[in-house]
Amino acid sequence: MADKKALVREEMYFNLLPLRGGERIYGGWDFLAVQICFGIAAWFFLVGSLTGLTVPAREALPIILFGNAFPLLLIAAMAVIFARYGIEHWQGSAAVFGHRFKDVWLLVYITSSFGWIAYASFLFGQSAIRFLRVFGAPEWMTQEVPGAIVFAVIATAVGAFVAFLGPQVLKYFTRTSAVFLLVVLGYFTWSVLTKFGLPEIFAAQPAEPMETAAWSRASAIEFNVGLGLSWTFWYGQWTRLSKSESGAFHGCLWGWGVLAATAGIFSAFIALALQVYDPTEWIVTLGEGLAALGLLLFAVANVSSVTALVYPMSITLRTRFPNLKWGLAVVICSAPAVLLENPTVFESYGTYLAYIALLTGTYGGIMMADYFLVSRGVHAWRLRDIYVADSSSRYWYWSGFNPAAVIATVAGAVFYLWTLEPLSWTSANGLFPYITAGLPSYAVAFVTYAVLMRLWILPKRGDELDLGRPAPAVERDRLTPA
Amino acid sequence: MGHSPESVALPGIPDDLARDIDHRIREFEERHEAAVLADGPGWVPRIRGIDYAAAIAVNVVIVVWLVVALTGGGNG
Repeated sequence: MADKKALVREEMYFNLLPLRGGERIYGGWDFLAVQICFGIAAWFFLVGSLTGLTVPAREALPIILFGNAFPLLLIAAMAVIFARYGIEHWQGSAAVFGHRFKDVWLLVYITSSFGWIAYASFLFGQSAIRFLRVFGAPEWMTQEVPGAIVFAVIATAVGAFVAFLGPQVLKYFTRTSAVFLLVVLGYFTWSVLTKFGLPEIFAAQPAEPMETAAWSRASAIEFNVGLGLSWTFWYGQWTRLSKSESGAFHGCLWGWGVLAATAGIFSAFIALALQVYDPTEWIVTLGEGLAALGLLLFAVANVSSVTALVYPMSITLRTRFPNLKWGLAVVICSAPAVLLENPTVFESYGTYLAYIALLTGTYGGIMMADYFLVSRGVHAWRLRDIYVADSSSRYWYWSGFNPAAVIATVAGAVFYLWTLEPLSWTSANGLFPYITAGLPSYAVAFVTYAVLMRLWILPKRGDELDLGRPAPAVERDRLTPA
Repeated sequence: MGHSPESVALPGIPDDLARDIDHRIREFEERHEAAVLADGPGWVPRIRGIDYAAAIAVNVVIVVWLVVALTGGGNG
């Protein structure tokens, strides 16, 4: 127990320190491998299924690739920022949003991530009840209610417990399950292609298209863009460990984008061939031995996803609130997800992805506008002020809130909801079938933030933000006789 | 809170951690900050234009594929 506490404290400690170049552990290829393993999980299987239920294979393939690769291109420079400064994601976000508004976004990150935990856990629950059916378990265990819910809660508890055990157990657990997942995915992709045939899959019609082709396509793009943009909350936790900006950039871009998206293509094919949302429905038809093995491996993969989410969330929360006990941080970052683990939420994945697109598109647009158009040259981030969370910091702005970021957040969110209301899946301005919603909201937030910073905040506070002057500590030493 | 801009001030962090952070920040200010101001590298080698160009090129191919797929017919 003492060792675990020491390790967790070490992680929290390590998480807050700006990392020197020599301390980085990931090269370019390492990064690619890590991000593929982190990326392939329940979220890709389910978004592939949604796509396959909505559009035919000819459109599903490029939509899955575009929806996951293009948003990642738009936010890819996020990897560069945290590699450059070596700082934790949410600590660094204070430079853009202000120290207090960053905390608001940190809260959004934690609470919105409960959905990812819930989807991974409930897919585990679905796997478990089908697995038990193969072995003739009691009826209550094989039903969605209560069986899948009970197993989903167990998955969350186990995933959170592994996260609680600390970094050493976590590394062993996730690496093992990543191998399982890759084996299952490779075998089942081969199986689905040989069993149904590529021409037949391409000839199949989607089971649940929208009222028009334009709505189907826009919706399928939006599902995938939601997942693609969602990574915007998870960059700095990883890329501060990169040995180069290029390695961080390419590892995230291809690992989370094109390569991990192949998991979505697998389940899209199954959705088209069998017209099912949950790919495990097909796995049980493979015969007892293979079904049991496949569903067991699928279940393990989803539990590892829960662990891979809960651990960085808890570390981030702990770095913001260092006095919080580790166990309590893990509970706070996992237990609320249980409320979402039910069939209704599971069937509403598209709605969840839309809300994620709203949040992450807006956040990503602001961060990228700051990187490309604001914090350049003499206005580059000042490391010291990121670590001073009071009014003496240049990133305190107005009482801890950067008004440009606040206005851009509101503008991006309002535009999204005006274009697509996720609950009713309707468009008040009628633009959704033509432009979708997540990518335009990114653009609205990007432009709004850049214009306000360049024309308002920088001219008003330009001297304070100007890094052309030596930093106070350097200046002080220069003026002090040896 | 009464901190000068030169000192680390994060709520609740232990003193030893604050000292280590401050040490790292000073190191960055002395060795890397001037380079970052001139659009040079920070702690690690800076990204090159070719990296962005490669990413854009692959995405252009995907976008063209998407456009061709979507203009080739509806879902019935």
